[in-house]
Amino acid sequence: MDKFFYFINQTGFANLDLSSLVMMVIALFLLYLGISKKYEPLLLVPISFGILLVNFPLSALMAQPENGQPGGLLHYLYLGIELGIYPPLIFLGIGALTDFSPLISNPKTLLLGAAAQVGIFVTFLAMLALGFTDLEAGSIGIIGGADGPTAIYLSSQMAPHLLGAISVAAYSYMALVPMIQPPIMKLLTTKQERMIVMQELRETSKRERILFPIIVILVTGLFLPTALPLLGMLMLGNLFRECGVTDRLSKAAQNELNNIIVIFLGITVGAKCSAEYFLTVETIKILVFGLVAFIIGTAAGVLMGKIMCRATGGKVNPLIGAAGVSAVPMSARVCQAVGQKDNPSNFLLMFAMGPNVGGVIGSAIAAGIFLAVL
Amino acid sequence: MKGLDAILHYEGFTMAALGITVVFASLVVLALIVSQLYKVLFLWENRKLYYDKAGKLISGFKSRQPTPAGPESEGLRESARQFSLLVRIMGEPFSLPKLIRTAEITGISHAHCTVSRLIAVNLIVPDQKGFFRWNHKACERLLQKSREQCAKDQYLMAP
Amino acid sequence: MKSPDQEQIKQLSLFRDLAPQQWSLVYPLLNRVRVIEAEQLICEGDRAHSFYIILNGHFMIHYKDGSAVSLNQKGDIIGWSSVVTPFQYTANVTALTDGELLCIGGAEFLELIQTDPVLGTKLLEKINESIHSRPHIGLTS
Repeated sequence: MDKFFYFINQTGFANLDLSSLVMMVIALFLLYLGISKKYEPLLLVPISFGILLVNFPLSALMAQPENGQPGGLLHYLYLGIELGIYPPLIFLGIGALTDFSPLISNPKTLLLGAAAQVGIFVTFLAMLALGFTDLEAGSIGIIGGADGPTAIYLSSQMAPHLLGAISVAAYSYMALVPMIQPPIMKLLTTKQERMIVMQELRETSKRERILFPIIVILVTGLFLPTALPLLGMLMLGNLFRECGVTDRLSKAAQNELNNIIVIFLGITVGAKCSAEYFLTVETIKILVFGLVAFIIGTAAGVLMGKIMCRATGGKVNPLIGAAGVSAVPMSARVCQAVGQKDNPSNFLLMFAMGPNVGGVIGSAIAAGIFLAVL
Repeated sequence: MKGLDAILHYEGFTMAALGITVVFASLVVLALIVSQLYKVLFLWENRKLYYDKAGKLISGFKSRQPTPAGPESEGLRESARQFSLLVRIMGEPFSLPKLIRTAEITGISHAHCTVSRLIAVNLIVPDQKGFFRWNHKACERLLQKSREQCAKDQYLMAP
Repeated sequence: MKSPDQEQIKQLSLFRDLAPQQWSLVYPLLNRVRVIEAEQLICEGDRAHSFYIILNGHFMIHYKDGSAVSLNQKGDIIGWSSVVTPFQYTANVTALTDGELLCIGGAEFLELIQTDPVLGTKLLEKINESIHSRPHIGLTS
């Protein structure tokens, strides 16, 4: 009979508390968003499942090894985040998938990518004012870059206890780009500006596309060595794609490697969202100010777009500035959609891809600055 | 610690200013380099042309150097030689698209652009019936100039 | 299309004789298109959706039988099949060099002709002039 009661006490039902229940409901809600609403499903599904698994009462998935007993599965998989391995490998896949031609043929759009990172630093200041430490404030501010792997990389290095909340915020806002950005874009631009048709981009040669990643890594690596893990992998992936002699590696980076790392990253990020870390006032602040960072980044990008529009005599459509947040390619598509509402024959997608991928580089540099200085 | 005190304690303003400056500076430098990249590549890919031009400019200042050959570059003469061979094989009058296709197959780079140049200098002339002929006289004149120039160079360069 | 060289385009033979009001109807239909060497602009047999006016570059109109015409004058017209039935291109057009053209949608152009017959007549006469100055090798595109 003792054994029977002992067993009952070891079940999840006997140890279920309110906080675990709330987290499991949140996990199921995020799972619903990912599957039914298709909000970034490739990440939200493993993240939400990781949240679910780790919040079961007595769940030992994240247990540390002790007394000669091995740790939980997710504890070992989490080492990929702790040691800063997964995010750079995700960037390898992103680099192999990304076509930098729109940026190469219109390099001034890098400035739009730079402007959109302003949100990161403004939020950094706001988080300091709210009582977070500098490491925490930097990790939260990076959400404004709208770059999931960068946010995960930085918070895993600087504020691992906030990793769960930051990741959920970053990926949720990336998925909500079509809802968040358009009102800001319309507020800051006139109809005339939104109707601007940009001149066609010139064709880029193969040599240019091969030299581009090499030049980027030389410049940024010398400026900021701490950005090398992220930018180095991004440019390596792109070089695989463009050089034409490493097709197998490019395909592996885009497909097998990327998918495996996404699974491990997602599930382990979710596993950091245990009730004790997630259900805090800090999480609410992170969710709110992550959104603020994103909004400021979008606004700064659009305002820089307006400046460039004036400076070029109306050749740049300010809407593409919103694509400077690095939610690739979602924010570029949003620029296209908003532009077409006022001018149905306006095709802004390729022009917006320039600042979009420029923003990826910009947010990695911003992360590198935090790592170097803080 | 909260508010302005916290920001000052952590040197937040300095950090933010530094961050924005470094992001902008590195991306501006990158943009400047990338914006010039295609021009540098163009110079590199056409370096032979520029060496020839530079050589001719320098030769203009030296008394025993050969005089410049004229508006036709070595590149044009080479193209004329190659295409005259192709035309000989294809026969006349020839089809212009077929000439271009044949040129590409034989490994002549930028066949379209080269044909455009040859039309511009009247080496390829239309027969007003949709086909084209090779201007043998103009070609001979062009290649003769080249032979004369080579001979002159050798004479002037001899010790 | 916002272009600072609107005046230069107005000087093209197709538009030179248009009154200011007529020009203000035509100008919004114009779009710039850039092409690179060896790019095929038009395929024989395809639906003719646009016609083009050369701004710079050298282009080759060629047919299945191997005959061809080369055009490199500013203002030369390519693809006028877009304004006559059966709205099908009758030749291929390939860029011999990098170039730039003005593009006009055939449907918009036809609509313009139908709403303003005087303007339409002027433009069609100019197009006709341009086409007939070329060697007659089958149907030109």
